[in-house]
Amino acid sequence: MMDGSVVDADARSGIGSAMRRNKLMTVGAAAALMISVIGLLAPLLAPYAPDAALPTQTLLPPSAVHWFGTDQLGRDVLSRILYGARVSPMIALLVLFLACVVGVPLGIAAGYFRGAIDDVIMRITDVFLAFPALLLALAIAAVLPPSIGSVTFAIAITWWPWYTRLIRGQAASVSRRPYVEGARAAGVSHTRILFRHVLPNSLTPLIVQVSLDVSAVILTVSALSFLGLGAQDPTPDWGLMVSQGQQYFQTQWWLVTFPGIAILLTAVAFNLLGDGLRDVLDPRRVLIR
Amino acid sequence: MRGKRLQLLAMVATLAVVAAACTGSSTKPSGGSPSAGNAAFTYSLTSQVMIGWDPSTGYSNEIVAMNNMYETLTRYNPQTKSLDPLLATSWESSDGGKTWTFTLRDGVMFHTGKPMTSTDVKASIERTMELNQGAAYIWGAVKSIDAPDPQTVVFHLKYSAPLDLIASADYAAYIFDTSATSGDLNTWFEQGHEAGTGPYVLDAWNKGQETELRLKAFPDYWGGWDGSHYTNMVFRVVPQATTAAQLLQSEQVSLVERLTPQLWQTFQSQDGFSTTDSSSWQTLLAMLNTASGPLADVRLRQAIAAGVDWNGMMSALHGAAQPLSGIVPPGLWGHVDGLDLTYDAQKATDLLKQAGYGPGGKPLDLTLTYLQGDSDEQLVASLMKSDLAKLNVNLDVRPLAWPAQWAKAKSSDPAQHQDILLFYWWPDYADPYSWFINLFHTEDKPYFNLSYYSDPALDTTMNKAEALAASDRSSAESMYADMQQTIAQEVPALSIYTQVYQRAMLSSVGGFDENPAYPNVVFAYDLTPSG
Amino acid sequence: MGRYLVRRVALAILVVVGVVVLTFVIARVVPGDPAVSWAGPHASREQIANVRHELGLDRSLPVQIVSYFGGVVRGDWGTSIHTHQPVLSDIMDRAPASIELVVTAMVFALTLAIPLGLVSARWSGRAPDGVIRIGAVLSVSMPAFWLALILQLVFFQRLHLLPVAGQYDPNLDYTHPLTQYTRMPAVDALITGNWVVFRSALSHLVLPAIVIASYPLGVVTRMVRASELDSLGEDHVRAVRALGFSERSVFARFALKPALVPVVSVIALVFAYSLVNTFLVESIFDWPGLGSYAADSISSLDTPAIVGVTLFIAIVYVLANLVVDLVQAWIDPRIAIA
Repeated sequence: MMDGSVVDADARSGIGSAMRRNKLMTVGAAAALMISVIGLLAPLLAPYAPDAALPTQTLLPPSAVHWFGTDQLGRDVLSRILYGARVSPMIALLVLFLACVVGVPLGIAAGYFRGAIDDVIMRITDVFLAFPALLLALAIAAVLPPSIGSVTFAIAITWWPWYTRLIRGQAASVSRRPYVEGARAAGVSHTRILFRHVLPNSLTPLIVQVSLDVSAVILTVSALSFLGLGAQDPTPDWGLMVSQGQQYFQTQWWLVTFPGIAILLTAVAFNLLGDGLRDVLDPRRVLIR
Repeated sequence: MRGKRLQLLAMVATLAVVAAACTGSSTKPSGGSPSAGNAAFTYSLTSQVMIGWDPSTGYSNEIVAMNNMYETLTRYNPQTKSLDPLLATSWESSDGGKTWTFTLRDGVMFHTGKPMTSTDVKASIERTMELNQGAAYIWGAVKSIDAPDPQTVVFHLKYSAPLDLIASADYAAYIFDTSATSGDLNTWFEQGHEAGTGPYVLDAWNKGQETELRLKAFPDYWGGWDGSHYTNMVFRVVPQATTAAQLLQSEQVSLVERLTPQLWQTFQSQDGFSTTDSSSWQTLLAMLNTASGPLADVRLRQAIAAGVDWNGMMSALHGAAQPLSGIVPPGLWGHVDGLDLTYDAQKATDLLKQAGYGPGGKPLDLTLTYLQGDSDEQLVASLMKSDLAKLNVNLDVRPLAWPAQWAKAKSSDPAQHQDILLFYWWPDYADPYSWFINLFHTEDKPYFNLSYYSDPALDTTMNKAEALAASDRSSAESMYADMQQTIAQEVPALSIYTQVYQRAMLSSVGGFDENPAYPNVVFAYDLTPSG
Repeated sequence: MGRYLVRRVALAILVVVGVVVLTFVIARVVPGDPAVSWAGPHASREQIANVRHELGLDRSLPVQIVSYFGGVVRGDWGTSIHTHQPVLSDIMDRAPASIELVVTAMVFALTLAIPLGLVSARWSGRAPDGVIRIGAVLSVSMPAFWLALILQLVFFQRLHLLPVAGQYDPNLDYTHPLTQYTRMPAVDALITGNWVVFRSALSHLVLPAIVIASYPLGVVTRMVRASELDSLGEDHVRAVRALGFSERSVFARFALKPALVPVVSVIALVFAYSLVNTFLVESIFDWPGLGSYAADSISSLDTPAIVGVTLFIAIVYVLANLVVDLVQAWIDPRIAIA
């Protein structure tokens, strides 16, 4: 009786939450997909050109003609938001790609070869990880000329050490497995071991971490744009749009409200997707960042 | 920083070593001031007030407070377009404007307790000239100063100059007690002290804090305190217009320096608030590169002038600016009508075609720099870009911080120079000379002539006009009119607009009058609190 | 334990050295000339050269880095370009306001997040769990600067409920002067019994604190939920449950404590994160802390100040992590051995 109730409770919560998680993940995946499609098809979906300034049509409230109103230059806010799906999400993907390109090889080198290489690489990552990511990105972006390139560079430089850490742990544990040690003893080349065993085994946690990081990077990109360090007008970047709309928010609420919702929804979508992927692929991982 | 003083507080031209630690203490307003609650006038400004404390060198935002603590010999009156007596009660020039005699007001006391005499005036202006920082150049004509008796000051000039106007300047013309401290006066000032004659004395300074500065009534002020006056003046630093509007709404501040036009309009119709708007002398100019790059061709400069819908731009500015005819803003002598920028796409196309560009021709690539963070300049740049794009002109718009914008503009390598540069200009005293000598006079090395313009005839005319400013105003005016005609033809610069000061205040604030010669200064003594 | 302590402290020192080097590198890749911004636009070539000499910019890079390092150790963090004050004294002036805000936000977030996380774990998979989890995802996905504007719009503009700028109404200085000890108005008002200012200070704190609390609230809720679920699945809890303890006491007495240990480890992290979030939020609320100082520094390209704030927060973060690690090792000595 007592035993049965324990099993029951466990099974119920396990199955129930797995289902719920997957439901949320499905929602997240669908939303993320939708955002990507919007980005791709923006020219077809947008009713106006995103940078078509019309000085006589400025600051118009939402209407049938301009669903989300117009901005201080008379540009259609809806069109700019749709095109905006090409900006921060793309920057985020580029940042994560760069961070992986730098972080993963270093992590593998540290974890597989150990010794002095490991020490040097890990002490360097310690220094980078001693900054909250947003802070270091801010400091670097602040001293560079404001542009999309600067923001990408600044965030990528703060993000790679996380992947180095993650991959190092994976590589270290894989390289100690008997079959890998066996392969090494048998004279199989490092390259082959790395590509056949170490890399594939590190991929799953990497995918999970990257998918969890997408929304964090998007929020960082928007924060930097909001401070004027990122994309510049006329680029239809959401964070920049909130920043430019700030001085109008009491009188023209639509200028900050809609781009902010776009950022929020995108971040939520990728968060749900990442959570779901983690639950499915790597249930032991606990997220903190 | 001439063009950008108030906007760019970071770049003040003082190298003074500022004493630390003033902020750590708990400087409080001296309590017990009578009925202090409603007798305080709180002025909300967008940026830090006391950039410097030295009345000789201050060349930035601090004038909004200094004009309430210090006084000048004369004050410009925008209604009569002439000078009112202040510390001087009368003055006259002789020797063709090369000798100026000022008679001083009787019974003026410094905040230090010392009576003001002619030796103080002499010492103040000599100190300003000697330090030679900030706007000290305005005294450039002065050869020597005499103080023959306690009420009389005589200025001997090297060349004729309108010294009565110069003495009313909003920078570098304050009279102060040079014996205020036994120690080093420079250090004493920069520690946050003042030694003026004005209606208000320093009460508390909390550097870097939101409520940065408090002034209180000077009991021995020569004007006296009869009648209705504010006995306290508070400066509150509120960078965001949206926040300032909220503070005014909740009556935490009395008057707001600058709102967005939209926010300003919300106070127009509201009970309990009043608004004013008036044209300023802060002009936005686009300096076109006349020396190198494609715009060295005058036809292309004319095409830019005709190729932008300037009226459309004004409507997008929603009243924050008004179109400017010529270089000199309305309200200042030397202003001329009929030189407004006009949109004529056909004319622009024809001019571009003649030079081999334009629709169907080769694209014209130009770079424009403007001040990063200035939303009005950004709007102007964006609209210029979008209009010119229709004429096959690609404007590469670059927001830069002022040091970067300026470094690029005055680089010794002409390849570094931009084609178009946006910036603000306004005069240091009520005289059009400032625009011409600084912006259009030939320069060996570019400094503020960021059009790199050189016209020897224009150089001669502007110096003649300045010499005649005091003695033969109407000849001077016609010379300024001719020069503006030339500039409209040659287009070294486009005068895009003058800023409109849109102030919003509690309706209990009475007697507020804008004085464009003292940008953003509120003379609190002249206000009458009610209710 | 002793060896762990020494090793951990040594590592922290090494990291701080690295942090200083990294900030120096950032400070020196600045485009444009710091001497020009410092000297101001009226400066002549000679003046700029003098400034360059005064600021030591004419020396070789290794010499500069050594003197920069020496300066940091001696407390000379350079001079801010936009305030013309020593950066460290600026930071010390501004830090109390930010600490007041961030600590309030953290207390608010933790008191809400721990019960929410437990509720979510207790009824895992049911309706309350779903609501709380969606709420947590929303709060970690929220762009702080946007939330700040929206709250202002709702609570000030529409409802006229809460003030939106500053730490308290400065007009009260004339009627109820506040004596400053800590430079945190709410605290000063509390210890001096100045209730009028205290009420004003609290009402000014509400909105910015909610904005700053948003992220920690979401993170800690998720963390508590996950680790509570983990520890409910652990052997000792199963054993206790099998012994017939009530579900409530299993939950509260045996699963709760171990579940809260990992939460300690994220506190340093979210504290530092919140401190950085003040960069975005403080200037919207006109809050005179480190964040608005940093934002001003960024907009005036004030490199010494930007680098100073970065260095300061990084050092705070390293120290916070050190303390957290040592506390954890003290609670659970196995960590020290591993």
